[in-house]
Amino acid sequence: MRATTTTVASEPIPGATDSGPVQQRPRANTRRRSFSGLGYLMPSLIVLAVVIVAPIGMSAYFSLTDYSLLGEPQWAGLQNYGDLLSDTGFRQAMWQTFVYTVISVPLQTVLALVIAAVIARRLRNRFGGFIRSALFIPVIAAMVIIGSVWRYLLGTEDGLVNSILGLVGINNVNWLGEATTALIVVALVTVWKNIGYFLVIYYAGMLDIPEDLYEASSIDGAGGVRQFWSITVPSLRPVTFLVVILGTIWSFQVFDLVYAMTGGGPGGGTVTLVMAIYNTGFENMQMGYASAMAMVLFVIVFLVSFTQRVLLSRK
Amino acid sequence: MKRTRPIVLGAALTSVTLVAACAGAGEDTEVSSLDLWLPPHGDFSNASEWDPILAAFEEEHGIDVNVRMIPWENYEEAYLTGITGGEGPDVGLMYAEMIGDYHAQGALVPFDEYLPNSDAPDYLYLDQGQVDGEQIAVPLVVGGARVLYYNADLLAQAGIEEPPGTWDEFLEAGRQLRDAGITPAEQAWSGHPGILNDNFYPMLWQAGGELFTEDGSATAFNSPEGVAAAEFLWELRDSEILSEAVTSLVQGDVQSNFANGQTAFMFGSDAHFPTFDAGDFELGLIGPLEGETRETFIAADALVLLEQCPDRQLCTDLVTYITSPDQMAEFHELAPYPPITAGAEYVAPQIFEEMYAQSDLFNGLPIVAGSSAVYNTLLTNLQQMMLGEKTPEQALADAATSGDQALETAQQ
Repeated sequence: MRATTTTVASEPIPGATDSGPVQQRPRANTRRRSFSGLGYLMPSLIVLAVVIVAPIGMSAYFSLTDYSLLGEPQWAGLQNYGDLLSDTGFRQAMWQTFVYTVISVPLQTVLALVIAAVIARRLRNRFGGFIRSALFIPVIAAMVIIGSVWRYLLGTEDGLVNSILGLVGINNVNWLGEATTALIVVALVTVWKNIGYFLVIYYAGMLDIPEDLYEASSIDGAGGVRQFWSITVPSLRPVTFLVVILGTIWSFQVFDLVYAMTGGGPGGGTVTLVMAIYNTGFENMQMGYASAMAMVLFVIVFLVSFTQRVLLSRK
Repeated sequence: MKRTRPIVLGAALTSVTLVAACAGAGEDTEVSSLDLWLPPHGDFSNASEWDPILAAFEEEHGIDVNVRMIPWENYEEAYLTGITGGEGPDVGLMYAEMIGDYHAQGALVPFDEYLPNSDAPDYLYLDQGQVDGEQIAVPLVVGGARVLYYNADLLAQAGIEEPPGTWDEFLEAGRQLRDAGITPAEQAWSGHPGILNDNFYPMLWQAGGELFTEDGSATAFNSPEGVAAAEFLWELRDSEILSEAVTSLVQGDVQSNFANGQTAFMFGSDAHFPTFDAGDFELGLIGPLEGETRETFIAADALVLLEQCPDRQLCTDLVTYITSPDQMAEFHELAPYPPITAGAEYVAPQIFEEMYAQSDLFNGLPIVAGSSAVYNTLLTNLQQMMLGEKTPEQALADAATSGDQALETAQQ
């Protein structure tokens, strides 16, 4: 290997005074070192270029064309983006994705944090382990299965949820048959699915909080709630940022759960951004227009990720 | 020495390239295999089940026919990505919504030039595969007619002696059932636009309406006939003949509720007959209801010849071979559809034989570029009508506006 970490021997440079700084010759070695680093990175860079950068670049190009996948793309300039501005279907999908995100992200974050805190502080035993495992099962379950099971549970006339509500005198609710309730229900099922994943992240973060802090605060008379607000929550700030950002990105990318539970209905009331992209590209065969939608999604996700980096880099 | 090495290498490379090119040219003249893409039908669900059907053709022509079974889920996606990636079929089965788009994009080759040179059987439904007088597709599976089933026991409970035959009689029977505390009917209004085959198109045609103008350049459902069909649907919903829950039901829900004897009427495909007939109640069949006409939907999935086929005559021969009565007889053993050619044996449930003999009862979806987008927007707007968010007139007008725009885009 060319890679080397050997330092360059100090040699007197002609013309340099003994008392002055000795100018060494590190440049060639530095270049060699950086090239060797590039060699190590190259496989990853190639993979990134092929599976991420190139598709984004191609999508950006196709977004400027009229393209159906079967024919040759025809240059259309910014027309697709102009059309998006007046596309009520796209605006509806954007709004519904936003509402879905606003419901699911805060809820899954808070619930995961609270449950993780209870398990970490009060239930470090087999029962706590059981709860963690039980809540993690939905994370690994297939979305299509989850969608089918919840469709069954939320059945209007003979679903388990309405049967239970009927016991306390609440009339049948058409959960998936009304646009408003369908979107809320899908967001809540998402919370149920994601909570186990974020709980594990929070739990791992809590194990890193020094026990001394809790012991010292106990001596000062702080109770569990006070410890949660004054020690746990501040200590987990970076983890919370991660959970919120990941949750937000996932929410903007939601597709399969909605597809399995409502198919975007009723009346388009649960069509999300990715579903709109899918329908436009694969069913309506307007790949150029779908690419423009995808670029908008890309910009949103990029901005969310960028915000995360900025916020996490702050001391 | 240094100069001769590149020259020798160059000469060798050129020789190898020329040899390879010659070999390639030789292979072009002889097709060794064809790719055939099909979906599962009935109990015919594995590619290997086509082996005995195709064996004689493979032997006669000395080629392999590679059958790829494409699941119905993401069917269009598989074709689109396969063909774009150069891995598509030479011959494949498409439905009308797909055929229109692929034809408009120049991905399909008409059969006209090649069919006369084939030993083609006497087809019954060739018109279902024609666009502007060209034979773009050859129907393979024509069936799945949408009919109205009823549970005779529940009708008797409600004091209904004669099953309804017209829209008005159906509404009256529905009210009687509702008043007797029986669920009159259910429809699936959640899911893919395919549900409109059950829920809307038959009513549109029964009202005397059409989906598209004759040249396929614009929608035609926003008409007095279309509004009458939409109003009939709304009347079913508004008078609680259809429950509020229909907006959340998928086809599986509706079918299982009917099979379990919980619903008096069900609009559905003839393919469900064996399941319903095995139910613990007396099953009745009305066929299509009568409005202005008695027409109903029929599926007409057809074989198409893709642009990439290396030998179009051979591909057409494959199509005529598959659709010939002997091969179809084997196919229909596991997928009992009515015959597609004259003289072929009828193997579908006998109760439908007389109905299938009346070809004027049936409409397939027309082959129109951009029709998928039209059906998507029609479904969304009709769902909004069933939710009570739009009147029948508003729903059809909005669907027509979006639909016409989609057709214009697709047909540019």
